[in-house]
Amino acid sequence: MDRYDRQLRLWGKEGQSLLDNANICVVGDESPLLQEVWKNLVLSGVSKFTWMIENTMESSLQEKDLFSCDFITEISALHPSGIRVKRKALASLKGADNSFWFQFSLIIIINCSDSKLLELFNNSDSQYFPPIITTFATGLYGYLHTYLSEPHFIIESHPDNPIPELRLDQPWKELSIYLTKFQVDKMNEFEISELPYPVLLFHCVQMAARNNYKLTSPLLRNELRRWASDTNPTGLNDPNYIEAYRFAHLAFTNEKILIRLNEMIQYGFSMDHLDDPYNRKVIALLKALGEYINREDFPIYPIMGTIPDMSSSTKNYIELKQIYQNEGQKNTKSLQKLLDKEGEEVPFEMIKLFCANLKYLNVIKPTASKLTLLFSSDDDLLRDLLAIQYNLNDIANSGAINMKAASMNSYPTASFMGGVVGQEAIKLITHQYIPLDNIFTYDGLKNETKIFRI
Amino acid sequence: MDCKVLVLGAGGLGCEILKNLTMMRVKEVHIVDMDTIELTNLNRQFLFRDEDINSPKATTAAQYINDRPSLSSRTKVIPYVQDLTNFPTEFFQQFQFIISGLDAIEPRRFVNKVLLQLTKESNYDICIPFIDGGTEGLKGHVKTIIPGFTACWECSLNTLPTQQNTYPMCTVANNPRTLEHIIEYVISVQTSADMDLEDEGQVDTLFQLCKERANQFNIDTKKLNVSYMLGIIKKIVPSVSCTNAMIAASCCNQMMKIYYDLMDFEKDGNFTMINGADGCFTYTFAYDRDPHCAVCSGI
Repeated sequence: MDRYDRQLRLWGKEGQSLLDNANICVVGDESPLLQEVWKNLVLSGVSKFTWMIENTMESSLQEKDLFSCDFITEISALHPSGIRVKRKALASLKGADNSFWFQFSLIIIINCSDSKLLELFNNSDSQYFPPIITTFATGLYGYLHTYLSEPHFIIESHPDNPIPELRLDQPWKELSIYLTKFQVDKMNEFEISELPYPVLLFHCVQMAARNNYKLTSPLLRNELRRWASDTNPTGLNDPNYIEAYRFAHLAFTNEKILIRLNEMIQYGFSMDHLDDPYNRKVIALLKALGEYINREDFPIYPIMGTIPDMSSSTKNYIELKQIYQNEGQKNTKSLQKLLDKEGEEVPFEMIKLFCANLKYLNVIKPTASKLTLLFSSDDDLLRDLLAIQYNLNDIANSGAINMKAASMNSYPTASFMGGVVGQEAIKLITHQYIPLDNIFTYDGLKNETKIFRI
Repeated sequence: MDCKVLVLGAGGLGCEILKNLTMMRVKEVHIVDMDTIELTNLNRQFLFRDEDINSPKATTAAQYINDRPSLSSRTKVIPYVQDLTNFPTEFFQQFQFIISGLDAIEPRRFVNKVLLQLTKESNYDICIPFIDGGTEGLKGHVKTIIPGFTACWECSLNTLPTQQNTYPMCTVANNPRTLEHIIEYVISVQTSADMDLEDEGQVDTLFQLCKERANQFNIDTKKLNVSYMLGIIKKIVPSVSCTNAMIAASCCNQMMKIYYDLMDFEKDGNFTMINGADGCFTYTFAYDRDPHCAVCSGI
């Protein structure tokens, strides 16, 4: 088995390859937090780093708060082929241009104490920066801020409870032919028990259509129960009937998804001139999707092309699954055709993923144009932490922090924040799972965390 | 910190916990684990190297600390490679804290029971906090158990994630529709129970059987490979260092707060859940004691 087997199960080969090729800029001196962030990144597979430090000399310092005296060497051993670290003087950051920043997948600024440094990243003349994470930990407290100069799109957000899509209210030709060929009314109870539940639902949808009345999920449930009680009462305990009753709402296309997708498309159109190549591909996909949705008389988006397992005979299930899969492939190909006009090279695999995850498409919008806006937050805990971090006397302690807990030496807090930073870095690099937007505070005393946006 | 801590498990959470305790300068740590190191541990169990594969986890982890003077001067680590349910009650009595990073249920129930008994029999003279961490993918939890005061591990038994789907036998045998059904059949009907899943030859035989059966039922085999098959057979749970770091750190901060008297057992939450898949959701609450709990209701 693969060394990364346990995490490949979370983000797959594509995600892992993005991590393998990532190049991360770490800004900050040696500290427990920096060491913890770095450890998590190397364990996940990242091996290319640029380290911006005050003093580029190899440190021989035996830092008492570090887990290992020479942590770069120790951490390097955690990667099967070792890691590469370019050390650069912090001072050389001034005047760095787009091409310098472009080489990085991510910038992580750790325990910074100089607010002047943050001004370098104020995005006044719409300069491109990769996502920037700033983080700080003290005592039992910590925070993280993710700063984006461009939107961050997520195609694979991996929802905990994915919702299948059956489209029984807007069936395409092949589906409708397949679902009606069963002639459920002529079947005996055994044959009925072998039908996948969409067949039962569709049967009721059609009966309603013949009687000219418009169905909703409660009405469909009634219809289903009446039909089953009348024609197949022994089947009321069959798993496929129970599933049909339970999942009746899935027969209908959820209009909210269309609304959401239209908002995304609008947003895509409002974005011009994006530097990030991934973003340019998603924008092209969104524009093509806009055309796809509006090309027919009734708006419809590409179908996901998958159905979950359901009670059924093998044969019926495999046939039904194939029909959804074929339609999914057909829709994907149509979208690909529309995409040709956008003049953006998008790999077919990405188009497939885009269609298969359309319902869960997500975006984190760019942050305010200045990284230093952090200081204008009115969150008490964040303000108190910033006051400690940057030694700001003009911000009075609001009392959100227990001073004893803030001055305590808590290595675990650095480790906790290092875990959050690592997790967010992975999400940003792989474009999988949804990053936090955009401030996260940790209060280890109350065991509470908070997320808010500035 | 002048105390003795027992760490259960030297896996993903165990390595993190041991590291944190060393950094907190805990005087003595005992660590129990009966497993050996495998290649797939190395994406998160950072006290181990490739050359440690097949060595016992507990001794290798202890050695990492004990071999480095800067660390061993802070913390002495004593490893045990054995089943912890074989320890006598007196063994547990020597510790001020017990932190668990186990994934199995039974050993945790065992320790919980022992600790509650100790508290009961000593009439509250002995009260050893039991802090339990667990992770699964980007999710995790921390339970803080103060025997006799807060809900015990048994009280919250029903919060455990439901075991992986079990499929009705008639589906698996007669109407298989998914690769899971195929693999389930091969493992429970077509092969003997004493299969060695570490043996490449046997694994390959299994794999061929799965492929044949899938083809026989026309089930798409695009996703079927050895790692997918083993994932289902061994019920493998995804695991990544970041989540382990967060959960282990929360466990250790809980311990620190108890040690420095920064916790209010009556008021503060004893149960924290974390989910990092969408943003970073955490929820801490006070899990009430179950008045009918089979383990702690008499205390």
